[in-house]
Amino acid sequence: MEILTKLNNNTLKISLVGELDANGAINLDHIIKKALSDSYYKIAVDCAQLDYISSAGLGVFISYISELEEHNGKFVFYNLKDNVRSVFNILGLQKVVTITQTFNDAKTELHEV
Amino acid sequence: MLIRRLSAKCACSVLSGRYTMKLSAFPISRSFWVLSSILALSLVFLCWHALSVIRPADVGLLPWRSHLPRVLEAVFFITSFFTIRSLLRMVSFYNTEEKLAGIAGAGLLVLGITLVPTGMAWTGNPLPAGSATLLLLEGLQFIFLTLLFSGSALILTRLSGEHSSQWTHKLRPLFILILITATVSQIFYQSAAAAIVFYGTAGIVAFLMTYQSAWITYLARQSRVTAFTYLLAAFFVSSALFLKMYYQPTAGFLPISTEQSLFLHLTGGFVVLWCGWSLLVLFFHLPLAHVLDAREKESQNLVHMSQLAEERKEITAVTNSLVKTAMNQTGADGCWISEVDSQQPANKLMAREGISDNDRKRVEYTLHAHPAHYELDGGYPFVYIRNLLADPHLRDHSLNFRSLVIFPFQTAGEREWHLHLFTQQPQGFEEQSLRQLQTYITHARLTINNVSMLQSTLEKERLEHDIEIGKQVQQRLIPAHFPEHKNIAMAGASLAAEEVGGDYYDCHTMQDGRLAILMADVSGKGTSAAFHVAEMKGIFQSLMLGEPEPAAFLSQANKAIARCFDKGMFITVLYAVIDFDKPQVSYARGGHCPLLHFDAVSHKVQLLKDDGLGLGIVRDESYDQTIRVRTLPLHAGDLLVFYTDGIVEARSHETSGEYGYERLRDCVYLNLDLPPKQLTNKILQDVEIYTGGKAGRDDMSVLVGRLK
Repeated sequence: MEILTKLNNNTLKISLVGELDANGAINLDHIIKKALSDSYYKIAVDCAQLDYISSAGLGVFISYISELEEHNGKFVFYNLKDNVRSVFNILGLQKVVTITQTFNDAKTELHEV
Repeated sequence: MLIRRLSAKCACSVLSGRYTMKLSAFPISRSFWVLSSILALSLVFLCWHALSVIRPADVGLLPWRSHLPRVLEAVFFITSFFTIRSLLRMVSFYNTEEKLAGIAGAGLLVLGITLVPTGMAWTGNPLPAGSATLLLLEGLQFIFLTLLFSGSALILTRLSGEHSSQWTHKLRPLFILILITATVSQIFYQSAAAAIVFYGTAGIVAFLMTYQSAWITYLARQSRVTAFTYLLAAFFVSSALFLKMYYQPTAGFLPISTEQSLFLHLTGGFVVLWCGWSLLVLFFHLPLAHVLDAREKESQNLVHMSQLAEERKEITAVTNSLVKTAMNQTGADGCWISEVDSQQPANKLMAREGISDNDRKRVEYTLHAHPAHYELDGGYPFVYIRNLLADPHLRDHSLNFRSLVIFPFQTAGEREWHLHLFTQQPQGFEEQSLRQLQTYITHARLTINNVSMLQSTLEKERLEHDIEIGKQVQQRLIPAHFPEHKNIAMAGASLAAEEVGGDYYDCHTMQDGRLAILMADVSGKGTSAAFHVAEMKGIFQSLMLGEPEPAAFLSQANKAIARCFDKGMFITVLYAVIDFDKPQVSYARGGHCPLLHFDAVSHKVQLLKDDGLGLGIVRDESYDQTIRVRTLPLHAGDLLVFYTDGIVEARSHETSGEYGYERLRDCVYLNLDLPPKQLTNKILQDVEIYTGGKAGRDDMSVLVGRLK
């Protein structure tokens, strides 16, 4: 499992590769925590290569939603695979995070915040 | 200083003031009383004989045969020997040097008595021959000489007997036998030939006993020199007494005078021989002593280390022991062991001796600051700084030691430890002993590894035990089976991915007969998820008291969870209330897998997909706006299947696919007629076949209800 990060202006782009299990979730938590301490509140999550996300992984994102909102930021997930998309929908996450199709849509979403 | 100690010890030994003599077992044995009374008696008669010889007119000859005085003298010798023996048995000395000191001291006293007449003659005031004082002195000299030689011979034979082989223990009684035979034989006749025989046999036996000089190696290091001194004194004193006794016979009034008495010759001769020979042995042993010491230290240290390994104490005990062993082995003035952390400049201290913590920190900072300077030289397992004053980095530290050795070694878990040794002299360590220290360090490493492994095994066992308890606790959270219900047949099963799981289901019959069913899935797996299951059960049970409708339940449950769940933990729920009168089911899907419903009338299996958000994701009132409730009419024979995502996300053992919703639907459809219990099992079996029996990646639960 890999987590790649890239900083663009004031946006952090996280690319998730592989399956996000409990161990990966710990790494993810560190990355997001660091991003917040560096004042990056707009986070785009590239899920093009994300095959599976565990509840631990979801939990990490969920735990930072309110903090991002406080600083006028948010999560935007894009390029989700069908099964991951389905997990998000069943859980109802589309109501609390933004899900878009493409990267451009994601960028638009983030700039509109 | 030595002479002062010597004389002091002798004085003590004679006066038995502050002496380290230990009186063992009172009461004084009966045989002692018997012997001492015989001794006293024979002494009395000897005095009578003496007087009768000196002043025949006054006292009168004893009207017995002339053998009697000799018999008396023999009795005196033998009883004094055995009396002293039983006296010595009642008393036990602490160590060898004190025994020797005692002999030397007593000998000096007797020599003193012996030399009084000589001394007086020398000062120009000689005692007149035949005077009472002179006779008294000679008498005392005779008695004390007998006691001294007997006692010394006994002590010394016992000394030889210690640490010697079994057969030499027989020499002692043999010697005593020869002694008694000689003494007794002198009663009847005296001849040079007999004397030679006795001297010969006794001499051989005596020499064999003397040859057992192993006791010398057991002398404590500090006592060697003092023992040598006392032995020297004892030798000279006993030789002087022997020679005086032989060449200046005294107590001529006795039937057998001192220079003829075989008893005195044999005992005295033995003492002189023993002291002389042992003196030589000790003299030649002294230079070798430190080698034997080193060997003994080594074996002691190894034994100590092995004992530690067997006792399996904590690691601190091992490190403390290693410090002591290292100091012992190398003669260091101090030692400390610390664990190196490449991040920190200061190491973590494991054990230290002979140095303050500040000083050791200062040294370690310096060592850490210049790693290249303090590298291991090829071939040596340690870094040896021979003179701290010559070392550019350490010289300014004003430490109280000059040489420093550092041994790095690895222990359990690839931790690097450093053993530091120091001594006040520059070049204070011998490389040989440093290399030998390597053996102990290796041994200590093994011991530490063992102790670590044991500790982690114990921890693992403890953890497994805890998990087992958790499992048992959790099995009580989910109902094992549902009670008979007149309107609905229900069954459920739950398979945890690990020892404990995060799924929960339960049901509750309301006052008005409606049935509330909850299926919940806590995010995550394992022990922490199981704890949240317990919390969820608590929340469910207490909320059921209010008999809430689905919307109210979700709202209230979310509030409760917002307070007590950890950040980032959420729970998906499916809460349904079945009204059997209508019949209908009213439900809300809180982010959970959609409810599966088989409609007995339309004969269709469908997934009830409604909007809904899991609990604990949005922790304020805005959650309420996400709640959606649906009501569905039910018919007799309808099936409701609650399940968790472990079922639909189960991975195939062949492909990379998931079990999925379609397969679940198909499985239910193909097994519609089965009673709920069997249907539950069938679903789980189907999943197991699909996964090839591999342990599920997530907890799986199924709950089936069929309306009657």
